[in-house]
Amino acid sequence: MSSALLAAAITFLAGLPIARAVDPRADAFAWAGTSYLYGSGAVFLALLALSMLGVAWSAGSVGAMLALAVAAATCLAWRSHAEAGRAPPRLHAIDALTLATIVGYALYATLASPYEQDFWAIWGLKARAFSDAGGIDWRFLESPWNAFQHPDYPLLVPLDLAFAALVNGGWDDRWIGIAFAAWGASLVLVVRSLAARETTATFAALIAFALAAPCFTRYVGLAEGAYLAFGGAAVLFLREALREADPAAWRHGALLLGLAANCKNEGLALLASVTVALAIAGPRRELAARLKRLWPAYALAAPWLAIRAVHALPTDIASGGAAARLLERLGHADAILALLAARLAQPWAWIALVAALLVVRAPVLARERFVLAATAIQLAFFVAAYFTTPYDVAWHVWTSWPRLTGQVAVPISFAVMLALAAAISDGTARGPTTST
Amino acid sequence: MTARRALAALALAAVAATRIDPAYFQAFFADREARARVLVPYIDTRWPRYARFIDAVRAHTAPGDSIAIVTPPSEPREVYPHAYYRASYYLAGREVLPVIDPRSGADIPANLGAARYVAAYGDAPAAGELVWKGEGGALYRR
Repeated sequence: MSSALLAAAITFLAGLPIARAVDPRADAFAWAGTSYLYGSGAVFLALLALSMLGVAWSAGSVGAMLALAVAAATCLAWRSHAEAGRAPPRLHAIDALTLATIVGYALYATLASPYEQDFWAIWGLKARAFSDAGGIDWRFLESPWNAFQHPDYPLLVPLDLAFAALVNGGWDDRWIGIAFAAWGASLVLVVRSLAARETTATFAALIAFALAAPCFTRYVGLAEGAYLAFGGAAVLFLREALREADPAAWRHGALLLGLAANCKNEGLALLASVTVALAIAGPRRELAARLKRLWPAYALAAPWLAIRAVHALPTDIASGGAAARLLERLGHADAILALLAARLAQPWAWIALVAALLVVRAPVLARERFVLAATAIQLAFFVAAYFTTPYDVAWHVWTSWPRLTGQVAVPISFAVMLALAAAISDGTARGPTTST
Repeated sequence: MTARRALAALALAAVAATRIDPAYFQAFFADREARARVLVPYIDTRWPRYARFIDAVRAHTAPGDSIAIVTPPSEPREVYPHAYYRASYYLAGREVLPVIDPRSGADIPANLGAARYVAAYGDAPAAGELVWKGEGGALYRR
C-alpha cells in the first residue's frame, strides 16, 4: 500500500505547480483538486513521450521528465505569484459528510484487487504489459490476438497505473483503488470550490455532499474513474468560464477536456459535444473567440489520435458495415430505447432531475444551456453507438449503459442543484450568467 | 415561502437524496476480508486454482515466449474467453495465443503449432514435452 500511496503523492506533488501555473488565483480546494488531475496528466504525457522517443521507462527517465515539467510550471507559476488568490470556501458541518463519503469510497475501492473483467482484459492488462516492457508495447497493441483489449482506447489510465508499478518496483494490483479514490476526490474538491463561488456555504456544502458519490466510480480498475474526474471537472470549469469570463477557468476547462479525451473514447465524444455546446451557448459574435480557447483540448487529444492512426489500431464501433447496422436497427428503435430506459442506472435520480428542471424558471434554465446541451449531445453519441455497435445491442447496453449515464451525472446535477439553490434563495445567492 | 421556493426546496432535496450512495458509508462497517473474498473474477470462482496455475506458467516461461492456452474440453466453450483473457493478464509480456477464437468461438488449431509452449488446464490432453505440472494443469514445450 505504501508504494501506491507514494505514487499518488508524487502525482499530486508534480501537479501542484502545474495547477498553480494554470490558475494562480485558485482557492485551496480547487488547487488541491486540480493538482492531482494535472499530476496524473503529466505522468501520462511523460511516459507517452518517453515511449515515442524510444527511451525505456525507469525511475531516472520518468523522474527527469516530471522534474522538467515541474520546473517549467514552477517558473510560470512564479511569474504570476503577485496575483491575490481566492479565499478558501467557508466550511460547513455538511462537509464532514462529504469527507466521510471520500474516506468510505477509499475503503470500498481498496477492498481487494480490481475484479472487473474490463480491468484485467483492457486497462490493467495494458498497464501490466507496458510496465513489464518498460514502455508502450506496440507489438502487443497491434497483435490481432489482442484485439479484445481494444487497442484504440486512449492510454492515460494504463500509463498512470504503469507509473504506480514503476514506483513500486514491479506490478502489484492490490492497491490500485487508491488512484481511483484520488481521481474522484479531486472532482469533489472542484465541485465544492466552484459551488462556493455561486451560492451560500450551506448550499455549496450540500451540493458537494450530494455529488460526492457520483464523482466516484463503482467500477474500480476501469478508466471510468479518471474520465469522470477529468470530464466532469472540464465541463464545470467551462461553465464557470462562460459565467464569469474567467481566463483561468477557460484554461482549466480546455486542458482537463483534452486529458479526458486521453482517458476513454467517450472523452473524444465529449470534446465534440462540448465544442458544439459552446458554439450554441453564447453570443454568436464571440463564437470564434470561444472555440479558439479550446485549442489546448485539441492539442492534447491530437497525439493519441495520430499515434493510433500511424499504428492502424482499429476501433470496433466503426468497424465495417456501421451504416448498414444503423439502418437496420432504426427499424427497432423503440425496442432499443425501451432497453435503455429499463437499464438506466439510478432511475429515480434522473426522474428527480427532470422534475427539478420543471421547477427552475426559464431564464435560469436558458443560462444553463451549455451544460444541458453538452449533456444531451453526449447522451445522443452514446445512443448512436448502440445503433451502430458490431456487438449484440442488448449485451452492449447491459454492460455499458449504467456506466455511461453515470459519466454525465455530475455536471448536469451540479447545474440543476445550483439553479434550485438560487430559486430557494430567491436572488440572495448569485445565479449563473453567460457573460462571455 | 412562495410555492415556487417550496417546490424548489423539495426538488433540491429529491435530487440530493437520490444521488447519495449509502454503499460508501457501509464501507466503514463492512467485514473487509469477507467482502474481498466475493470480489473475484468469474473464472477464478469457476476454477479456483486457475489463477495460481497461470501465475506458475509465468514463472516457468520468459518474456516474449508464445504460449497457447488450452482449457478442459469438457467445459462449455463460452468459458474459454474468460480463461484466455485472464491468462493474458497474468502472462503480460508473453505472446498469449488462443486456440478458440474468443469472439466467434471457432477453433484455431494453427495456434497450437505456432506456440512455443502450451499451458493446458484441467483434463486437457498432453501437447508436447512436459515442463511443469501442478495447480490443476501442465505446461508443455512444443
